[in-house]
Amino acid sequence: MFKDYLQSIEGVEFYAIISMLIFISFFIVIILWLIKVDKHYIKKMKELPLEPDSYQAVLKPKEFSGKKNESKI
Amino acid sequence: MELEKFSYDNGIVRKFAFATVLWGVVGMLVGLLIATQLFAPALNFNIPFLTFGRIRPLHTNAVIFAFVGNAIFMGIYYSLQRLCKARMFSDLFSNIHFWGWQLIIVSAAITLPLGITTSKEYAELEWPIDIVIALVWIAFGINMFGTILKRREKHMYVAIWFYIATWVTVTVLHVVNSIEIPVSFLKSYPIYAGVQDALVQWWYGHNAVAFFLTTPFLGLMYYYLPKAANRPVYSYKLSIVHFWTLIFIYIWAGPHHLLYSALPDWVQSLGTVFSIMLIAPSWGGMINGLLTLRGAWDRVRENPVLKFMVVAVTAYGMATFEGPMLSLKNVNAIAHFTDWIISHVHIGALGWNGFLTFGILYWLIPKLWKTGLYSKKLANFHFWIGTLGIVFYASSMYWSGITQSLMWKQFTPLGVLQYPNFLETVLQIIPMYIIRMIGGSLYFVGTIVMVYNLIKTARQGSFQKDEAAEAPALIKIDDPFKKGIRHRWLEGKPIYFLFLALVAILIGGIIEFVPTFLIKSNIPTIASVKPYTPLELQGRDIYIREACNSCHSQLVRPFRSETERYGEYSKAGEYVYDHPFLWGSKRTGPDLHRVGGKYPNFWHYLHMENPGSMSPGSIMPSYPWLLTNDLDVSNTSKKINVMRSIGVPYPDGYEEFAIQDLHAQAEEITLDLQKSGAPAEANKEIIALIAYLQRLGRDIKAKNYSTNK
Repeated sequence: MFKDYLQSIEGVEFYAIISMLIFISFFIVIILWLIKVDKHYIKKMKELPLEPDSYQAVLKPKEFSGKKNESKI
Repeated sequence: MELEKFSYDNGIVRKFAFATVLWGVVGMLVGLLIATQLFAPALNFNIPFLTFGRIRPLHTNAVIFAFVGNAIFMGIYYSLQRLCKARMFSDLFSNIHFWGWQLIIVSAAITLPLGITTSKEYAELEWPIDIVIALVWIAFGINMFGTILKRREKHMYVAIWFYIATWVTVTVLHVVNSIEIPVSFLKSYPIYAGVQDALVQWWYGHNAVAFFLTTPFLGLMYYYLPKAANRPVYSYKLSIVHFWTLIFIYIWAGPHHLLYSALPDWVQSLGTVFSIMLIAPSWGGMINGLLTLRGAWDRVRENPVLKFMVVAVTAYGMATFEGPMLSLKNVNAIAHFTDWIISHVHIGALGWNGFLTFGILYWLIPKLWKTGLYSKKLANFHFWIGTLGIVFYASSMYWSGITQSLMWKQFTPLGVLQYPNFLETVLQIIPMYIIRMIGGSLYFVGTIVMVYNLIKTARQGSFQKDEAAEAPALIKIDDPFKKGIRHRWLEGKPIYFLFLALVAILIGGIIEFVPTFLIKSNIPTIASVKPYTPLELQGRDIYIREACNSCHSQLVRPFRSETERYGEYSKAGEYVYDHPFLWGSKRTGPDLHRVGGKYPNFWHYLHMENPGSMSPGSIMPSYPWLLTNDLDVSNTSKKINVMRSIGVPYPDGYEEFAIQDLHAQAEEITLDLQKSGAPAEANKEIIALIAYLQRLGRDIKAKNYSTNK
């Protein structure tokens, strides 16, 4: 009897197809981004939690790891 | 560059840490009590407030929302401040959040034993508490987003995304699942009925696991595991992929809790497919966690913090592999309603949530009190006894679950059920219940040892409520990284991020709900299915109050083993007046959907007074108070009115006569009981409960039942 539900909705199969398309395209965009992303950026993000809680204690803060640090305190 | 001075609020972290430990102990203790009651039912001491049905939700709520909830907030309040290089947005909001949350927990601890419950698993709290939850959650959200907005670090670390996804999804889940119409200050009916109520509830239930027990803990893992191991996470790219896929896919998988139920088949299949897909992002997280320790496993041997975290992440991997397997229909057919599920969730709760919380506490408390851990030996002891506890717990419940399932389904060569008496299948697994209790006790002993260790640690250190810090102000500079598709643009904009995360989680929910709700008018109604009589309605509310649905399902699945045992399988059209649905999720006792008319009234009367008198060896607790409590009929017409307002077709003006009908039906049952020799009185609660039980599943037995479209 539940098949009656399905048949009573017009174009019900598109719900599933559209949602799959949205999902797959979103996923592809993310993968593309990950391929193109700057390695230094990834490195900086990875090390974010390991940065000191306060810059007080350190002489030279790691501004952006992997990039030349041009800024000065 | 100028350094700005500010301070981290450690005071609020300490408060949440204290609450985590306190409620952890309470939640586990209640768990031990109900585990023991399952083989020694007398331990409810015939006190309503200590009966299994009422305190089982107390255990689940205490562990999920009190223990794990406070642990989440402790972890977030510490890490968010450091990752944002900023103090929490508002001390006032921090305190509103903390005290509000504890108020909710205390009101849960009072209302649940009193039998004040909506009956929806993990959402049992009644509507006034639901409103407080919403307000406190919003205070938390404002505090979190305020902190993120005033941060001094341009980029948002992946842990923060998990926190944002957690907040936004829990908001949506809580609101959608809590839409209910109040009858009185502490009683309400959900606007959804039957199949729809079940779908909404398990969309909520499943995603509460996903977004309260999983995503915040993954966020914590991404911060505390690198901190404890002192090395960056294995792959940041993997964390991005697995974050987006996880939140997108998780939201779809709810219907796997309702396989072989009266839910439309296509929704069930959708749930299964997305559950299988879920392995990929879940394991992405696990692999990322474990590989963070690559080349540093020697440290795991020495560091109890890392030990706890490694077992936690491994348990996460196991549970998230098992989950999708359990969503396969053929596996679900065996596992659903059995202790297997209890094992599955405890791998998650004891292993993943518990052990990660312990690991964080062992790392955080010495940090906050600026000292070392008091005793590494005790922490190691905790680790081993806790692990042993999990092993005992899980293995006994797997054994028990599979035994139950096999016995339920066993036919003799002649084609009849080999164990037609459900009780046989219960007595068989009593030893497993004892072993489970031993496992839980070991785990509990470990927790107590931790409490001692942490107190000693705090005593030897000194706590600083406000930790001074300096960091450069966030100034608008060009992104130094080369251009590309800019996910990091998103990371710089928390509000957009919030919005996208919301869209991601809404898509799944909407696609599942819309068809099931749109077709409301098309649900094949069964002409002979009628609304409950006023007395049955009152009886149903007693069934809800005593949480009979903790142990009894009301859903006969379309298997021969079930139709033989219980009768005709359940149809969606039978539940159209069930606000809320009471399908249950566990069969500690037999299914009750076809119990109506199966036994005489007198049987139910004696059985409620002392189940052992009718079923020797039964582990069901006694309910003697039902025989002596007067039934409260004062709200009868209000209940009829509310039910009518949410679509139950009581005729106009019926609320005036409802009470007469109620008394008439009660008299009838009482007379029958008295004839059998029971000292029954018409105004007692037992009469209403018997009326409800005798009604269950009988509508379609009526002659000439036909389906209308």
